[in-house]
Formats: sequence, structure tokens, C-alpha cells
Amino acid sequence: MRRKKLGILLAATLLATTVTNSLAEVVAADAVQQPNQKGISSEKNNDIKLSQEQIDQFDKFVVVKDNSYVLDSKVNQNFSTNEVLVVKEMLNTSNREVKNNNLIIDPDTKEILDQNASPFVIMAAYNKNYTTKAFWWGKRYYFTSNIAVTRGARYFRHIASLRNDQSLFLSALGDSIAYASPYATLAANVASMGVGYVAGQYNGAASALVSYNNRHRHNQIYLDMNRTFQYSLHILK
Amino acid sequence: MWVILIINVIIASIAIIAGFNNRAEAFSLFNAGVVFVAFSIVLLLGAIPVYRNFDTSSVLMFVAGILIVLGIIMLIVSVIARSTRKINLQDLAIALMVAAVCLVYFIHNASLNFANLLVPELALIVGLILLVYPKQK
Repeated sequence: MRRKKLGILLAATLLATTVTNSLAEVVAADAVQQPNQKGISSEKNNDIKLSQEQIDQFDKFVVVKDNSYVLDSKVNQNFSTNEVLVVKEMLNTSNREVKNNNLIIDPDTKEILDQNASPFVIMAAYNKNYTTKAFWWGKRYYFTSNIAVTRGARYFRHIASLRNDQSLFLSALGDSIAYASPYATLAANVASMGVGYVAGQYNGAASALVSYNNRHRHNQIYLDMNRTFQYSLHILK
Repeated sequence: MWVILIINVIIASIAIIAGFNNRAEAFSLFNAGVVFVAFSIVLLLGAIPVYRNFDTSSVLMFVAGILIVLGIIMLIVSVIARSTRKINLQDLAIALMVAAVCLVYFIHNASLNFANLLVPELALIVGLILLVYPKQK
């Protein structure tokens, strides 16, 4: 039983490393200005590094057909031939891994799922979106790629901005009724400060996530956030 | 953000002082405690239908937690200090209605279905009754 689990874990790790290496390494390139690509021959495709932004743009043209990734033909109108070749190569590698390991690609999320693996292993596998798990004490966010970290940080900042708006709304609403009921004004303003604190915690979580990921570039990480918005970051073992 | 919030709190303080001057009555800790607890109960009940939505339910429970703790402290202090224990129904009604509006604003991102709207609507109706009934009497 333990060996079987270990086998599944190894398969998932292999998948994670093969797919992650091909994608995450280029993501780690941090959108460095590339030299003029017109003169690069097809033999030098491996030298071309795609920024995270480019990968996101390419993602729109990647579709799932018959449990494999296919690049839409419209992609040639928007990207250079060399870039398209690099992405095609990456997709072929992923498709081979999916076929060899009998994995399933979710057509909606385009995630690779291992139906035999435990939920923990599925989360540990490469995923460009962060995944979450609810606990009685709060929520755990799993980040298994650099893209997932960027998206997670963006989501936290979005929630922070939403809470800022709600905080201001509460405060304004409270102020407007001061003449009718100063007690309600007081309660609304206390609530507004509480929501403001929550916004600050989300902003802090976004910044902490990015800096923690920069310090642990080669590790998969997770963030725990409890119901009082205290957060902590850990490495996924 | 914090600057705007502090400015708002200052404006609120001025508005509260002006509101009390208009009423010609002193600040009652007991009344404030009741208002805080009523406000927090509405938020807590509103968090039940959206419990599965971590972001929304947590913020509602967090804010309700702060208000309920402060409200209970105010009530305890007012009991110890033996101050006037008179509830102003108008304050209670307005607090319920403000809490209902806040609740709708908080949960509108989750979904505005019947179950989610039940608590704010009930709070609003109770608030309206409390506001109108004593005047008719």
C-alpha cells in the first residue's frame, strides 16, 4: 500500500517536474527582453524563452481535444513562427506525459488530473491556477507554479480592493445617519475599521506570497488563512 | 486608504457629536451596547447562508465578532456603573436597517438569492416596524 502510494507520488512528481520544468523555468525568466527573434533558426527553438504574459496569451489558443492539448490555427496570426514552435513542442511533451501516465485533461480548466492519485497528490501536481481546500479553521491555498502565485497574489489584491470599497461604503453610510442615530454611526464606523483591517491583511498576504515565492523559487508552496485573516506561508512537502 | 479611513472616522466623530447635540441627551453605554449587539447579530445571521463562501462569511463573522465583543463590554460596564438602562427603539431600528444594507452590499458578490436575502430583508422589516410602531403608539 505504501509502495503504491509512493509510486503514485513519484509519477505525479515526475509529471510535475517535467511539465513544471518546461513551463515554470520560462516563467521564471520574468519577461526579460528577448533579442530580435527574426534571425533565430528553428534549431535554436529551445533558446527562446516565453514570458509569463506571453504564456497567458498563448493559453487562449490552447484547446483540449480528445484528451490532448491542441493549438488553435489562429495562433499563427498573432505570434511568430518560432514562438509557436516552442509552444507546440511544450504541448507535445505534455501530451506524451498524459498518454504515458494515463492521465486526464480537464477540458474546462485545462488541468492535468491523475484519477488514481490521492487529492493531496493532485494538488501537488503542476497547476497554473492555485487550488484551495477548506478547513474548519479557514482556507488553504496551494500554489504549485509561478503563474499560480501571480494569479493568487492578483486575487488577494482584488479582494483587498473590494474590502476597501466596502469599508468606505460602511463609513459613508454610518456618517450619513449620524443625525438620526449616532449609535448606529458608531457601530457602522467600527465595522468599517474592521473591514479596513481585513483589506490590509489581504494586501499583506499578496505581498508576502510574492516575496516568499521569490525566496523559494523551486518549491511548491501553500498559504493558510484563518477566519481572523491571520496568514502563514509554508513549503509543500 | 488608511488616510481616507481616518478622515472618515474624524467626520463620523464630528457627526456623532452633532447628532447628540441635536438630541439633547447624554451618551448611553447601555443603548450603544444594545445597538452594537443588534448590528452584530444581523451580520452573524447573514453569514450563515454564505458560510461556504470563505471570503464573504469570514469578513461578516470577523466584523460581527468585533461588534459583539465591544457591545458586551459596553453592556457590562453600563450594568456595573448602574447607568440608565433605557433602549431607544429608534436607534435599534436604524442600526438594524443599516446592518441590513451593509449585509446586502457584502453578499452581493456571493449571490443575491432568496436564502441569502432572507436575513437582510427580515432585519429591514423589523427595523421599519420598530421605527414606525412606537410613533403610532
